Amino acid sequence: MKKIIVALSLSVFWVACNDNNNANQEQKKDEVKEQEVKKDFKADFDILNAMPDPIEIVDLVKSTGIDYDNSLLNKPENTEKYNSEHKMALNMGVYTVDLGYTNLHNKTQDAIKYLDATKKMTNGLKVSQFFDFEKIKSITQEGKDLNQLITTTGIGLDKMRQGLEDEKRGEAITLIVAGGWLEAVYLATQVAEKADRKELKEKIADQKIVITELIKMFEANKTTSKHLTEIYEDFKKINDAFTNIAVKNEEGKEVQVQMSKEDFNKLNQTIKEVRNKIIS
Amino acid sequence: MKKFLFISLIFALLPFFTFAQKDKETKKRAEVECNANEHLNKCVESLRPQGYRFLKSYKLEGNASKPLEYEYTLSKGTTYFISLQHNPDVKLKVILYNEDGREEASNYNKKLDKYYPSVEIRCQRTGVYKITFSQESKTDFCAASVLGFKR
Repeated sequence: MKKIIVALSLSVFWVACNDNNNANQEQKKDEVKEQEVKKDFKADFDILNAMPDPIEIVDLVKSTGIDYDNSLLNKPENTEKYNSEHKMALNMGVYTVDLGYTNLHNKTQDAIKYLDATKKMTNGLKVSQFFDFEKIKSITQEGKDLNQLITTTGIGLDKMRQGLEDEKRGEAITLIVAGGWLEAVYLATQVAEKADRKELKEKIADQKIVITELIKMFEANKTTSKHLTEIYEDFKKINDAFTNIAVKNEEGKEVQVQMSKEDFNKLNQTIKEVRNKIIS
Repeated sequence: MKKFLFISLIFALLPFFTFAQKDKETKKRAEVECNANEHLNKCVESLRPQGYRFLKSYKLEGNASKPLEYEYTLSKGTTYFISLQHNPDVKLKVILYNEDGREEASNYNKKLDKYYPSVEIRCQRTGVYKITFSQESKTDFCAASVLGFKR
């Protein structure tokens, strides 16, 4: 009897230890796999989360009073061209900004098209589960509550960003953020050509803060793949175009935007070229 | 022999006590996690009457000893609104620090020793700001916050 009790106790002890060893081995395998994934693209999620939402720029563009112009936007039909993940991610960013632009101008028909384009990109990237597209479409069609529309879309984008972070899809989230930022600045520079508004020029000049961070992230990953090398080189051109541009904000003094006509034209042209390449 | 049996029995039963403790912790974590979405929905609703547009949400599940920190780029000329929702027994403080580390705004009024459910800031200078959330009482907390903006 005593021998049986000893044997039983030791057996239970052995099983518990063995399970723990197996769990440790599985954990190590997962860690190695995780590290392999992390080596592919180094994303700084803290910096990505600190990036301003492009809706702020689009809201300012709307406030200038310049007429809505859908020829500025990336055609929804262009979704057919985007078959690779990096193209889908960049243009997911582009289309969400275009969607915001159409919504803020209450252009329901266009908004539905851009919602469909955005949805196609989310399907391709496998992130559609973060959005309630039916609800967004319904609010868009009703055309009554703009704030609820922007909030519902914004919550979806927020959840998507968190979801991509949880799945450690750093490249996808970085490209979505980059594409969205580029489209917003593109719209701002196109409108700034027509509307001589100090606030808009200041907002454009302020984007130096954002491009400085984006270029660091792309530089850290430029050798990861051919497309990332290209994206880095394109965004570097934009970064270089910001060289002479600055906003001087001293306490007690009026803000001074340092951006000559030549600087603005160079920036405008560079942004247009890079943006058109991304949507092509 | 009796000593040997006793020691063996303790080792045999040890894993079961550990699992029971882990179960307790998991259950407690689940209870803390489950209300964050509810708090978030209330935060989003609070943007409406003030005319703010949604920017970002924060699900706050924290430890009393360590504040939660986030960064966001605020733009000059824009007014921002940080809304908070949490369980009644929580004293949640939010502080906004500028790039120089100076406190720009908080929901806590030191003179009145009062915690407000939101804080509004008109940004005077574009830059990367730090938003910290901390709990004044000694328990872990579950809360949510939303950042909104208007021009």
